[in-house]
Amino acid sequence: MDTTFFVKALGIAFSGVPIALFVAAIALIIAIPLGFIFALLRLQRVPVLYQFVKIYVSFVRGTPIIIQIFILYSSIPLLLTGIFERYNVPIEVYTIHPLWYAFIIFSFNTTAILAEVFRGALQTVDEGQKEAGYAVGLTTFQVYRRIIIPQMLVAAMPNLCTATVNLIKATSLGYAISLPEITLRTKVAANVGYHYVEAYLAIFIVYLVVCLLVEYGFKIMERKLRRYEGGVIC
Amino acid sequence: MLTVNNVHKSFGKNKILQGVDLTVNQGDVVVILGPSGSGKTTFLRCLNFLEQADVGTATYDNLQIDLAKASKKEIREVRQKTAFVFQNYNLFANKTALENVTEGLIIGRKMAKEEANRKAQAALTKVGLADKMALYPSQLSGGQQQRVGIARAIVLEPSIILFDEPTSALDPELVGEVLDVMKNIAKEGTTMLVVTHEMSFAKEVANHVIFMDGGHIIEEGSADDLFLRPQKERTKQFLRRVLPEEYNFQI
Ligand SMILES: Nc1ncnc2c1ncn2[C@@H]1O[C@H](COP(=O)(O)OP(=O)(O)OP(=O)(O)O)[C@@H](O)[C@H]1O
Ligand SMILES: [Mg+2]
Repeated sequence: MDTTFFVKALGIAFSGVPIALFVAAIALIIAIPLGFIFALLRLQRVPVLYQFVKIYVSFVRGTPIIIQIFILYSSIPLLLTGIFERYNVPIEVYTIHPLWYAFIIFSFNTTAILAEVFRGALQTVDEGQKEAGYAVGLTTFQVYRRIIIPQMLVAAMPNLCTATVNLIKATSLGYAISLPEITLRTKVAANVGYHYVEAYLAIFIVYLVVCLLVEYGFKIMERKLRRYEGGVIC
Repeated sequence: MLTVNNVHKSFGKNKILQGVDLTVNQGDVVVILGPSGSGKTTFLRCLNFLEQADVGTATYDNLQIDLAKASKKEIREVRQKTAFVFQNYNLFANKTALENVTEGLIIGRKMAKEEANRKAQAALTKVGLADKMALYPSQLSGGQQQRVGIARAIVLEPSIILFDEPTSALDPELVGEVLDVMKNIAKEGTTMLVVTHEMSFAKEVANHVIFMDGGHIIEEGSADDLFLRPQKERTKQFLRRVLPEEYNFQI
C-alpha cells in the first residue's frame, strides 16, 4: 500500500465529486417533474401515453444501466447526425462533450425510476383529500400544489433518497463515456504506477462519504416535511 | 334555496339514482334516511359535482344548472354556494386545524390572510376548538376532526351545507359532540341537507325527512309524519330495523 499515492488518489477522487453531483443534480431536475407527470399519466390511465410510460418504465427497470448507456451513447450520435445534416446545423456530433450524454442518459434512467416512486407515493394520498379540496373551491392545480404534492413528497422521501444515492453511484459508469468523474479520474491516475488498490479504496471512500452526506440531508428534509404527522419520528 | 329535479346516475350497469327530486328552503334542515347502498352518498356527491349525474337539473339560489353537463365555471360557482362535510372528515392532513379552515377562504376565495384567519378563528371557536387551532389532524380525536370539518364548511358561509353521515365513522362516545355542533348551527338558520343514521337528530332537528331506497325517494314528510305515521311498507320495514323500541311502542 502506497500511502502517498493513496492520499493523492483521495484528492483526485474528490476532485471528481462536483461533476458527479452536477450530473446527478441535472438528472434530478429533469427527472422530478417529468417523473411526476409520467406517474400521473399512468395513474389517470391517459390512453396511449399510459402505455408508452409503462413500456418505458419496464425497459429502464429491466435492463442494466450500463446497457442503457451503451445504447444511448451509440444511438444518439446517429440520430443527431441525421437531424443536424437535415437542418444544416454546423455542429460536429463527435465533438459533443460527454457531459451532455451524461445528462441525457441519467435523466432518461432516473425519470423512469421516479415515475414509479411518485406513482407509489401518489397512491398513498387518499382520494378524499382531493375531494375535500374541490369542495372548498380549489382548482385541480391548487389541489395538487397545496394538498396532494406536499403529502405525496413525504411518502416519496425514503425512495427518493434511495434513487438519488443510486443515481450518484451510477454516475461512476460515466467512465464508459469518458466522463471525467470520480472513478475515471482516479483510475487514470492509477494507471501510471499500477496503484489500483489504493485508487479503488480512495474511490470507495469518496462515494461512501458523499452518499452518507446525501442520506443525512434527506433525513433532515424528511423530518421537516413530516412534521404534520405528529408523534415522534425516528 | 335548492331545487333538484330528476337526478339519474348509474355506475356501469348499476342504476344508483333513478329520478330523485328534492326541494330545500332557506333555513331548512332536511334529513335523508335509507338503507346502505340506497344511493344517499351518491346523491349528495352529485349536488356538488364530486360525481357527475347522468341526468338532472338543480337550482342553487338563482343559479340553474344542468347536473349532467355543467361547465367548469358553473361547477366552480356551485362549489362556492355549497359546502360538504365528509364521513371520514377528509381534513387536509398537511395543514393545521386553522389552515384547514382558511384554505378555502384564502386560496378558493382569494380572501386576505388576516381576514381569513379572523373568520377561521371564529368558526373554530364556534365548534369548541379555540384551543386546538395549531394542531394537525393527526393530533386530533375523530370528534375534533369532524368539528374542524364543520368549521371548514361554515366558514365559507355557503347557501347550503351537505353532510354525508358526519358521525358514522366516530366512536359512540364522540357522536354527541358533533351532533351538538350540528344542532347549534341548525338553530342559527343554516340550511342543511344531512344524510345520517342518527334518528335522534332527525327527530329533534329536521323539519323535513326523506326516506330513500333503491335510488328512489320512497316517502317524505315531517319527522313526525315519517316516524309515527309511515305510509309505505318499505319505510315501515326500515324504521322497524333502525328504531326497534320506539317503533313498537308507537304501534
Ligand atoms: N364510484 C363508484 N363506482 C361504482 N359503484 C359505486 C361507486 N360509488 C358508489 N357505488 C355504488 O353505488 C351504490 C350506492 O352507493 P352510495 O354510497 O350512494 O350508498 P349509500 O346510500 O350512501 O350507502 P351507505 O349508507 O352505506 O353509505 C352502492 O351499491 C355502491 O357500491
Ligand atoms: Mg353513504
